[in-house]
Amino acid sequence: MTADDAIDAALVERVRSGDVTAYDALVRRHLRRAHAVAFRLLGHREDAEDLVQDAFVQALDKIDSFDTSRPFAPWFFRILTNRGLNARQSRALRAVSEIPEDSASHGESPEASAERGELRSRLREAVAALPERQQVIVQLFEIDGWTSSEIAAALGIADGTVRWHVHEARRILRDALAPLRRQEQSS
Amino acid sequence: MSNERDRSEFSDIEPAPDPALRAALEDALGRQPATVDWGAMEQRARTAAIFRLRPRARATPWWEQVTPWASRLLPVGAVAAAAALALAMATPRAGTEPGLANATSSANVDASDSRDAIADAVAEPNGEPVSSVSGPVDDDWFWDATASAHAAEH
Repeated sequence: MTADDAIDAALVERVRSGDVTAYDALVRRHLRRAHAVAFRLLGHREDAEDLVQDAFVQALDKIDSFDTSRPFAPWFFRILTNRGLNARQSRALRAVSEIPEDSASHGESPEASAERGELRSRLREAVAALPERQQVIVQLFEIDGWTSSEIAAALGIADGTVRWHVHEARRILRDALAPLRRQEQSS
Repeated sequence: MSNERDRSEFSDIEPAPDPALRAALEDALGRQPATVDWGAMEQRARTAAIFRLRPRARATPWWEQVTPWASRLLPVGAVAAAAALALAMATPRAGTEPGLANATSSANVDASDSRDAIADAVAEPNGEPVSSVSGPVDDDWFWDATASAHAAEH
């Protein structure tokens, strides 16, 4: 148990006795990371906010079953990711509205813009083809700059597993982009 | 199997940043939203939690702690009381008990009559034995018997 885990455990004990202030503190400690993961799961800001709220409520409802000798974060993020993955499957994703569409930089030639669009669509397809957890891991690692340890702590998996997922995802994504890069180099 | 091996190979190596892939992914999937209202989210979470936390916060009075046990304790208490009453009624009185009669006779043999002891205990302050003793409780057969026996002897 780290110092952070001990703080979480103490807050959980207070939440169990009905302390709203302790609940506020617990939410504050995990809110930003929860939102980051939720956004990577759902690809939409408002959906991510709803998911985070839902996960906190679920966590509160199950707070008596949480073992305070274990870290809180993986337990909470397991609730969040499970509910996020369910939400992905059960509802029509509005992710498209958040993903930048043809935000071609001004002054870009039509050919360059088309190439960029092609690259973007290939990447999206390749990412969507990854296992769901791997999608989240690679986005948190590559785009959001989380370390493998941070991702591991949040998702409750080993650091080495995170690194392996990153390696695998990179290999697949680079393969998906390779033909476009070859075209780029030949032109 | 190969996955297990691969995972162990990467267990100690933090992947180096890949700026090109990062830029491409950011372009395709977008950055984290920059305009999240964290205060509003915290407030929303608090509002949802208050109704759930309120029952936990209420101090439990002692009768609420006892209430769950009452359904078990009351019958046990009633049975115990009935058993005690039945035992008291079934037990013969001390004067009619053969064991006590024997004890009294043996005490007489030893010339240390317990009735004397009681009468001495209630003797007047000047040391004269009382001729009659009236007990504080009516119909106290043992007291009466002891006092009258003592008076007859003296």
